[in-house]
Amino acid sequence: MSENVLRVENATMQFGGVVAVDNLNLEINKGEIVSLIGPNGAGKTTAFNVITGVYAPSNGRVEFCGETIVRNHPQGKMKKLYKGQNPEMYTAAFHVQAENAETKDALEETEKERDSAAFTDKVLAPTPDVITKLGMARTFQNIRLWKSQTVFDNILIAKHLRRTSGLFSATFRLNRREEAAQRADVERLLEIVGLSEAKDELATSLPYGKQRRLEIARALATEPKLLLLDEPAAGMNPQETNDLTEFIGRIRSDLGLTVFLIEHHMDLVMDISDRIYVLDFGGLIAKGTPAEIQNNQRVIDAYLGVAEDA
Amino acid sequence: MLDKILPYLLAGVSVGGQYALIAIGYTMVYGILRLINFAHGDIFTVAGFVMVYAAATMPLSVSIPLTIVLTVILGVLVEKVAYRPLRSAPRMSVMISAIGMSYLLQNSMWYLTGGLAKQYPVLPWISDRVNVAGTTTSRVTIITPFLTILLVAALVLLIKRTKIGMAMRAASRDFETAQLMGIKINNVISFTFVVGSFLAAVGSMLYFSNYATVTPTVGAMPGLKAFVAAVFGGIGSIPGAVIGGFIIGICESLIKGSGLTTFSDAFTFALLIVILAVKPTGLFGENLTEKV
Amino acid sequence: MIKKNDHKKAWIALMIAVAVLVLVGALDNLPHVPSMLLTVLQKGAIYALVAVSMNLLNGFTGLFSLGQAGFMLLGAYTYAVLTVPVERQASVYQRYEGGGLGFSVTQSLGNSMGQFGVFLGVVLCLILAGCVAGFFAWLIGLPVLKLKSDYLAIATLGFAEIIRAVVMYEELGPVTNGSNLLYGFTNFTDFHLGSLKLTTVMPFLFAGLCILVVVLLINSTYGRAFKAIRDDEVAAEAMGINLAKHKRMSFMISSFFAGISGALLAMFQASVQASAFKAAMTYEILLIVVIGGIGSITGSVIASFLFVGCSEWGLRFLDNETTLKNFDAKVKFAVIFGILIAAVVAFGLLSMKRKGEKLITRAAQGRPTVRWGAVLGLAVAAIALLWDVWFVISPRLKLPLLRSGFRMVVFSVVIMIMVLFFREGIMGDKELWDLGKKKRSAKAKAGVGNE
Repeated sequence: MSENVLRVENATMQFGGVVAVDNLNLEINKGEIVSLIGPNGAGKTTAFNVITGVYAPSNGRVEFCGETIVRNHPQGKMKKLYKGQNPEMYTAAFHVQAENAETKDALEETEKERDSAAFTDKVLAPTPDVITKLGMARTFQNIRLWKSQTVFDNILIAKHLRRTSGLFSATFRLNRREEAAQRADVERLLEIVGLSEAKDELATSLPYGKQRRLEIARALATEPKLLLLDEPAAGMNPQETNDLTEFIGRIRSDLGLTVFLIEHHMDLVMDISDRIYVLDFGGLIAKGTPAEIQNNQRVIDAYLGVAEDA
Repeated sequence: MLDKILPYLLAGVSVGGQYALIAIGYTMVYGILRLINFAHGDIFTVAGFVMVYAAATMPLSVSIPLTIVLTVILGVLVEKVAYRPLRSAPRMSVMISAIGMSYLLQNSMWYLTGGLAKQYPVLPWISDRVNVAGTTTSRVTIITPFLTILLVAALVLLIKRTKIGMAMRAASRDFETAQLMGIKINNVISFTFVVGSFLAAVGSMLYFSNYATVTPTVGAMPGLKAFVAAVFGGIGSIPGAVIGGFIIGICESLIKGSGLTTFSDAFTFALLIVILAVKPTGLFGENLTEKV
Repeated sequence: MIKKNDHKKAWIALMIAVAVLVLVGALDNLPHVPSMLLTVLQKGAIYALVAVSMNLLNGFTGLFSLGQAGFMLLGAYTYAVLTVPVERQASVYQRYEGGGLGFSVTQSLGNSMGQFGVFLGVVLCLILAGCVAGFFAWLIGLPVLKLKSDYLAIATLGFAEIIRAVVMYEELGPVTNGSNLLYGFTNFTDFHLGSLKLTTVMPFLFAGLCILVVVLLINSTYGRAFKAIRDDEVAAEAMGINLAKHKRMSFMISSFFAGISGALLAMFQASVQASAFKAAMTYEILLIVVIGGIGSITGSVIASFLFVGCSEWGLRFLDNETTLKNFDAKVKFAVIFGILIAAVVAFGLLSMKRKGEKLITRAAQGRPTVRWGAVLGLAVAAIALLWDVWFVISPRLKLPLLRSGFRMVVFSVVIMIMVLFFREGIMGDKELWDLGKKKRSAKAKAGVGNE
């Protein structure tokens, strides 16, 4: 039984009157490669942002490696505006309406086991750095490298969160061993992504494809358990996409990571994914294996389209 | 009790109106350019000096319009020299340019006037003492709030009803799209500075009728306070700037009245900190979210 | 390999530092050294430290703060209050009965340990000055650091003003002397090694050590984190860097050193008064940082000395009404002036050419083909040259424009020119020791394969 790495439960994200993500439920298990696909504007990056703590969801819960990391319910202004489902679920007022007493008790027990805050109003909205520290790292749809820094430093900076030395020892160079170890690790990552030769270049002087690889290396530097990739193949030609497909496979096999990706390149998605979730207008319209998704009529209508006769 | 407070209240409303007139300049420029025009307070001071020199050699009927015209020209010039070339530069650079411009204006005034404080000419009728509800004060104090409200009303009408007003509103919503829609952005911006400088000139006439000495640095504090008023009311909102100006003017005057004069300036800044901590967008401001 | 290089660099740096201190010490004690030079050196060193502290916050972490003067004020007063000698406290605090702390750190330590005690006391008080400033930075940082750049600037400016008002508050007079001058405390002239004067060595030593610490910090993992926040804070947060904590850290460290520099300034002036620490002081520091290059420590240091040198010394002549002696002097002046104008025009034309914009491209784009800036510049130059010729011919001997205040006008114009045309400043974002390295990107694009 594969252990659960990520569970998103009833996540809804509403901006003013616009529901960007509507009651999303998904789970990812250790060692899987899962993809999130859907038309532009479907809410995929917003979902990523909710999972990684950039936004606190209007409602819902995110669980990482068995622990609840994000939790919120509609409050204040949002209480009136909320258009989504289950507004009471993460509040103290939540009571399980069940058919009979047995089921109700069993449900309560599971709730209590899984999340001791199940019957409170407690809100968990950590900043992204906290979540990254727990073991979740991400890349961005629009590359966000640190422009004034070299390739090497871009990755080295991502190791900062794992330091054990304080300000004083770092400033006065009392942390030489740790620094050396971190630098060695950066060299290793550069090897893995094939950027060793460019390590002293300015990050922005790299061609686009290599910048994307750098961003992935940077995310890997934070020593994550789960890697979220937002459109890693965007702007890549078929050759590069193939390399990337193979690379993601290696991330899973060699590095033992779990991968969750947003992508539009269907070859990459169908090739590499164990499972796929399909989002449209913020809501989940399908989930399953690549084969199942390819034959799902709703998905075809909303997104994939029909292949032209060769 | 009321007659004790009344002179301070009146003074507060008066100076509040003057702050309001200056604050409008700040808020309009910030609304469109996202720039704090540090030099605005100095333009206010220059208006004061121009009046001093003009009134010494010309009749008031000439020097008053002359002051206004020259102040407006200065305002537009500052924009052309210090802000337009940096339109595409990072925000910090533009702000530094504004500070540098303010520095230049202050030093130039110091050089040209020899650093001695100048006496502001007495404007007849405005400076006359009048009797209001038992206390005597100068007519300026009474006129200022009315004049302020009149000017602001005219301005709001201009913004809501005229083409250029609509262009200004569009530019403050989305600068780039306004340009793409064919709005001549340079003209809009110049016009904004024209209006702002005009109001600053009028404000200076009212202000210096009350506090009659003009020095090169006299405009720095009112300028800063007017900016706080603009932030307090919601940067980009004209009614907000006006209300902010009056509130600051009144509170400041009351504090002075209660004896804590050293803190009258500090109060304004404390108010700024509070509003930035509690509601950064000000009373009437809008929220903006950044897309990740 | 890397280690050896680092060690070598460190040794060279140490030698240079010692050499500088020895040189400065020599200047302190040799006869016939103009006191203006020493003034410039001392003040320059102090301003260098403030500029570096501001650069740490603005240039390296990307937090635009205008509160430097407030922290300098806190540091200056902390130091001064702690070191006024006991016997002078009555006269210094004359407007406040029983004013003063009743003790003086430097005096107490000096009495028990002699010169070394005084030195120790000063170091202690400097550190305390920094800590007080840092503490207030922590207080202020809590609400203020979340704000966006413009608002942060105004909020910090506001806080500096509030601090100034509080220090001048009459009720605090017994400690701060209210709005009156505070003087008599230990200053640079109190330092001597036997008969060897150390008046200029001390500020260099203190400022130098502090700047060294900042350099170490910038090149450490925390310094890199600050730069990441400056470049893209969303990405920094996503890579595990806690924004609030690091911003606060940068703010506190910057204020700590600003406080120390305030104390050094007090020592330099031998007196402090709250009213001097206005926003104008912060603007001067900001301009120094811009001139030196935002993001360059060596730039800030160089620019400080340039700034202080020019404002105290170099441009002084602009303030004096000058009457030339005779016709010959006039001709000399006219020639020099003419050459200067020609040089500026040549420089301007050359830099325009380097920018490489062709007239034709601009016309095709529909943009005005005439560069109005250049036209204006040429017009001004032409007028200046015409005036030059007229001046030689005319019977006048007195140079126009030169009188009190002109220096600052010229200064401000130069600053505006720098801000508008040389935004990078002198050093850009490079350090002095980076200048030798060739540009990497060009090499790489040629070497590494095509993508």
